Amino acid sequence: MPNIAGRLNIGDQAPPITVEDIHGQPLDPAQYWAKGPTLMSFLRHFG
Amino acid sequence: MELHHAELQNVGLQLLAVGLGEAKHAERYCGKLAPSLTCFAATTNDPYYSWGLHQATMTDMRTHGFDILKASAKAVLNGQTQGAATGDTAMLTGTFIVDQKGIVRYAYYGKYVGDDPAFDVLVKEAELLKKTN
Repeated sequence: MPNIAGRLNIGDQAPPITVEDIHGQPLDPAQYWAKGPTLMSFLRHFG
Repeated sequence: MELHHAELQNVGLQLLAVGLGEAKHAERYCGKLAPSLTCFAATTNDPYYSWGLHQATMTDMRTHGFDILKASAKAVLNGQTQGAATGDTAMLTGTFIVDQKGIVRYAYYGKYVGDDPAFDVLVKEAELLKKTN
């Protein structure tokens, strides 16, 4: 069974994650937060 | 999100999108279909699980069957077409607004495939965030 965290609520800290940029370099999108409010959309897939 | 990127960016939002797949898929998607977004690839489901997202269950599918059809029809009417899908097509979507301190200010968990928040709600939330900062 996957380890699925509970839903995030308003006021929660956004959890750190590791994803890849379009060049395949790993990063945490958190590095974008400081630049300004961010709309973070988790898509089902690319396609 | 791409359809309404100007309105969303006008209220000060950076637009980030995470999709299941590989970096080359993110590059293709952002390059051709969503050039206003900064795209990232999740090669496993773990980033989704960390944010409380999960796959649709059979119960979800049964409960929201008509909604899924409506969402599909809306996508087609908006000119969106389904290419070869990457990743996990059962994964449900999530949309969040995060402030500069990394605090979640808005959270929307898709109840079924194709369930996304209305963009005017996102604009209002961003305007509210702008006023309070």
